[in-house]
Amino acid sequence: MAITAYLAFEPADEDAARSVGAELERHGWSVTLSSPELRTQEKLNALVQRVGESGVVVLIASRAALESAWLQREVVAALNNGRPLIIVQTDDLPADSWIYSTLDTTGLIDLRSGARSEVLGQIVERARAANGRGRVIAMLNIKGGVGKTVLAANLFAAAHLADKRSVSFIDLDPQHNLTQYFLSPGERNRVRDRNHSIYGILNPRGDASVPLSDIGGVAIPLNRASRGAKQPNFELIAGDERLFEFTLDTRSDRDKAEAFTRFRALIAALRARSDAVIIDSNPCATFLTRLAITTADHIVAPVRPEKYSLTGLNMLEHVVREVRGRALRPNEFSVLLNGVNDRTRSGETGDADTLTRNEISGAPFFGSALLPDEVPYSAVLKSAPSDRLAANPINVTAMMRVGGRPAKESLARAAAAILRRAGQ
Amino acid sequence: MKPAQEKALRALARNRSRPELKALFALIRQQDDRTLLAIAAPAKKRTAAKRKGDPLVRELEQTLKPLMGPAQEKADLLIEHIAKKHRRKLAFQPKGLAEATRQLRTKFSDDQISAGAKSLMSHLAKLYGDRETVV
Repeated sequence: MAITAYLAFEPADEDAARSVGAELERHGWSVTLSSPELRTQEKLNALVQRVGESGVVVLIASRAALESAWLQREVVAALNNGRPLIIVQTDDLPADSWIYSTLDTTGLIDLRSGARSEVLGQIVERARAANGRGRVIAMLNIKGGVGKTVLAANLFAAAHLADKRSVSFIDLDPQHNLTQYFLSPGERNRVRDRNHSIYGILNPRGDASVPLSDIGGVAIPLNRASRGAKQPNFELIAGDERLFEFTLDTRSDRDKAEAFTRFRALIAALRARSDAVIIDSNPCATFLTRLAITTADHIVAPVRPEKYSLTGLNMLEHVVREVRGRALRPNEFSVLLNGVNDRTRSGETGDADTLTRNEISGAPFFGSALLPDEVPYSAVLKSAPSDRLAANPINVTAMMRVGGRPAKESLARAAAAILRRAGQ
Repeated sequence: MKPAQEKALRALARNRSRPELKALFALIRQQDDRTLLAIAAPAKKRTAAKRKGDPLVRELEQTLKPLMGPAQEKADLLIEHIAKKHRRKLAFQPKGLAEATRQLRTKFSDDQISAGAKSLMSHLAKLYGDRETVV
């Protein structure tokens, strides 16, 4: 099936838009053009849906476009749905325009001297690169304690070790448990002193800010095995407790807008080199959750076999709908049952595993998102004992520990299923 | 009585007079099996199984036990550390600690290897062994 490119433009730029659209179609893309039919208040939801379902959004930027409220809505829908934006300039734009101040214009394509074939080819190439890169997967559940962090680390360590997948983690939780899981306190302090954490990336200014050009270089390698052929990358953008500043009202809207642009730049850098970019989110609905939702191609919601997890799942669907302006499609979402066959549970009436499984699979929306592979309760998924140390962080994951074969097998199967559903 | 049982009884009675045999039968009737077996066929004294393998390899395994990871990675770390400590270039690529010990012994004494493992662990503990604290 052809991947759709959405072309956002004003009627004044129709000729340029049609040239771009024809070139994309010639290279196998299906093209949706901005149209007056969708640009009405009554059809706003359908417009957001159309933009959100596209593989890439091409923005034809001109003076007419700067004045258009509808074009801004289309750009917002693209940003909120994590769609890659390709900006094609057909006119001289003032430096203080909203396009320069809110979007990343470093890769802007210049079409001012006409729709020449090499420029059109550049657009096609950019669209192909934007769509063919790694997938962004957010581990998300509004309920805490369902296993987001431990599953993020272990599922994708299994994908890395069993299927040679390259994986980049982003710890977007102020509690930074994923960073704690992989790195010792001493190493975390060194990372913080060098300012190589997500806090430095989101911070637009000040001593703690990482320059935009260095964003891709702050990742910490997690597989440091020195022997053998070059390994696919397995890396972490470390978390930082100072991230809490972005969850309170202490940061200005301008800071948050810049943080959003910088986060998108980080995602673009990581997507270019990894099969999967995994965002470990905080268990609530904050600005950080918004960052995760707006950039994710796929959301994985771990659920424990107990009733409160289901509340978190329902809340998650509402939050995502609110942020993206449209409902989740089942193929954008996976529900993973975590901690089944837990023999340490006692005093419970009924079979919690079966009850939860039936509840989710019977639900109209979540039923089709429930993965058949479940992760059993296992000692190998517990964090490493404090009296042991790991010079190579991947060694703390279940796949590198002794025992727990059923858990390891189900982790590898579930990771493969998630990557398949995410389109990787 | 079956022929095999008669034969076993005749073996027991060989070279014994009738009064002796009568006393023996009476004794057997009075005692239980456990007592009779303990005297007639005592269990062989179990000697501690002799431990196999190289004592230096066992010592290295114990020293490097707190380090998480496969033996090959531990061996690589040990060789790298000893090479750095003694400023030698070592191009060894062992599969595990036993092979690493064999290769290291060609250049270093057992004491140097053992001290190298201990020094590696204290070096790694400084780098990665901190504990979580609260302010």
